[in-house]
Amino acid sequence: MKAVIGVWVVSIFCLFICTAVTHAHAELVTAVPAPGSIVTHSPAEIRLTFSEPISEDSTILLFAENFQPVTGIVAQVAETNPQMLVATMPPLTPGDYTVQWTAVSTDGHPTSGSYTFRLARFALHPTLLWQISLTLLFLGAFMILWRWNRNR
Amino acid sequence: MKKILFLVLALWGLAACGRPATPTGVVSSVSPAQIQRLNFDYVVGTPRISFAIFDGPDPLANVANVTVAAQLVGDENGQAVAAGTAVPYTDYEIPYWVITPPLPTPGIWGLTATITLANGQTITAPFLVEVVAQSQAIALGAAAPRSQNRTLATEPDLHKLSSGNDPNPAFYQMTIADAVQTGKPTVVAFATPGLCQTKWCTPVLDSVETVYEEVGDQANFIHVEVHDDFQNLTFVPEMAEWGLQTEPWVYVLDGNGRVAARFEGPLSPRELRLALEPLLNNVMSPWSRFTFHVSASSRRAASQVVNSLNS
Repeated sequence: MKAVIGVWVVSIFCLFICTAVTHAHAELVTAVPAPGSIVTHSPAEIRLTFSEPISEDSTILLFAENFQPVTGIVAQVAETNPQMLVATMPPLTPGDYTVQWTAVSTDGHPTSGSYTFRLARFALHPTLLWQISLTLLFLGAFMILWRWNRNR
Repeated sequence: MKKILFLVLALWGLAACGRPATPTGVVSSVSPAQIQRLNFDYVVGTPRISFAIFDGPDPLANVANVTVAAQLVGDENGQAVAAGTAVPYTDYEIPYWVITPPLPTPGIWGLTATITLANGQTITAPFLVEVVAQSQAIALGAAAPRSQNRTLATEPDLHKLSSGNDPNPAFYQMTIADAVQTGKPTVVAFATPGLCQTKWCTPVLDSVETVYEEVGDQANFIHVEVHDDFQNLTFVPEMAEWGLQTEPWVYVLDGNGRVAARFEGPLSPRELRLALEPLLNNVMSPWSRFTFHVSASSRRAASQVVNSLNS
């Protein structure tokens, strides 16, 4: 019985020790604007959420087309979420943008990646498209009814 | 008539209210590909740049071909100065690609990956790397530090020589200083297999083990556990000797103890094999005319004969 308890104690001790020192790589979980998205308004900020808490050494860089750097970006770890990196952004002009992020986990392991989003010059919003389609449909129905009523 | 008009307007209004607005103004997707850089040490010349391609949390599937063009950020011309096809390595936990473009000047380089999928669709994914004039890590062509790393001769407890669960004793038989005296190529892996348990670093020592099983004693294989204290995570002195601040790193040394190849981050068995094989042929130089066309097993047998004659 004592041996069994001893094994349990050692196992639990090892579990705590091992999990305490295991290294981690922060991986990107969610991003706003999302990779590959087309946005119709200049985003006020970039929000990246990682799988691990990240340190203040983490960065976000933004590049316009032809790798022109966008200045005035300040990235910092969100006060309310140690896994989120937030960068405020100046107003952007339409075009394609590359977000280059580097996340440094709290144990110093860096990861880095990049993705693209587009700020559209003009985009037909799905809601607007839906409204126009329905309007045309009902206008057509109205014209048919009106002609049918006049011919009667 | 008025009733019909009212009905149309009412339905139009309902339609407008009934569809939720998209909160962020996203209307469709462009290219969802994300590039994840797998190494960070880029020196002028032809640096090894390894990267993985993701679509959301998963690797991008059905990639047929990847070409990469490079241009110096801030260059007035904005022209690509280098372009080439990336080499895929799919024999790793995460498929990755490697390019070694000629990047002659330090600075931020913009890379545009053009990814062709199996269905013929082409997407682009830009990313950037910072190229430096000199690396802190021991460079290609440099003489390897004659490190006196711990071995089973100096530390009989195997589990103090590696954080891994099941260390291979063959990797802890000789110091780097001794290895470079043998005239054989040497593979030195700086890794902490038990403490970095992610898909990025854990399989690296597995790759070394795979190649070790194929090559046998034609080359020396050494694992340097990067921590000498698994609680406080202090680095072994060899990390500073080799100028390393991250792990994993794998170095391939030629028979003269010079750096023939070096790999930061993920490394597949095939990529390691490709770096090591030319050096194995050099070891066999008296036999090279014959071994060029014979199988690996025959080369191994011949190598054993040579070794026995030498000893």
